[in-house]
Amino acid sequence: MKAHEHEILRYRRNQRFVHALLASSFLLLLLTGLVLLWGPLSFLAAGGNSRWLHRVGAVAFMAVPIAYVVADRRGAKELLFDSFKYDNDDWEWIKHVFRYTMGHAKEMPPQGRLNAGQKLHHAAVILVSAAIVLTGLAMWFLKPTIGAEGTAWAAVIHDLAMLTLTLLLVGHLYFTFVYKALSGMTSGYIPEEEARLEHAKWVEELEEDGALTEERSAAPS
Amino acid sequence: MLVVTPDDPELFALPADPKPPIVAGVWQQAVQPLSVGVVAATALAAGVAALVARRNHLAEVRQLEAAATEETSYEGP
Repeated sequence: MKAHEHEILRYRRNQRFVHALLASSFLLLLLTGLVLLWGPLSFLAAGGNSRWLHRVGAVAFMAVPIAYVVADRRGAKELLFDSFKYDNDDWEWIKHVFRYTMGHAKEMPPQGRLNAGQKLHHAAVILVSAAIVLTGLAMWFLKPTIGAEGTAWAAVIHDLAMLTLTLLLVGHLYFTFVYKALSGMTSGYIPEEEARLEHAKWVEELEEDGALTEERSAAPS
Repeated sequence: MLVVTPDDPELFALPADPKPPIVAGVWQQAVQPLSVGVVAATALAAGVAALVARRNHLAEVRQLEAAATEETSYEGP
């Protein structure tokens, strides 16, 4: 029997849609933001297309939490609560994060559906995104009210928050590559062996609930 | 923003000697170039580390697969 014969559903279709919306709107904002701000790319700003594209991206980005609640209320609630709830295994995991970063998951403390690193990542994305949205809205609608000084501060905070999100994206891509996690967002399924290695407590919960058998039978062959 | 006035700016409720806020200079001179540098350096370091880490993880998975295969093919004494 092959060890990767079984697969587990990790992200439902609607969760994958929301992730795609977040990723595409973020990338649109990043690229059009760079065009607006970074000298070497400023020639692309001619004609004002990058400006309105940035605003289209902003509206899509702000729509992400609403879309998540509409498309998958349970998933949105779980994500929000799990991202800010840490147990002892999570703190132990954080203590040994360098080991995990270098590709060693075997002796890490057992983790739930989200490991502690993913929880921290999600919490940071939520908080930093809020800063981006607030400063972005201030620059879009409140320029006459907050004046030149206020607009400049909003721009600094907006840029630093975007820098933080970009660094989080680098980390996100890093772990996706190292732990071959892309299938979770393309097909929704991940190999059971990988799930047991990285999210032992989650797999145990699924087994206890009898959900693992259902998901195995639903997995594509 | 560029404002061209036909007379003294004070007559149009504009400052006589406008200066950009200091924070705008800090933003353009420090925050922006620093951001590009930090992202580039992080991406480069992550790219190199990812190759090592992925190799470590694949070796770990191969070990687990071998152990699982051994376990299933073992038929007992």
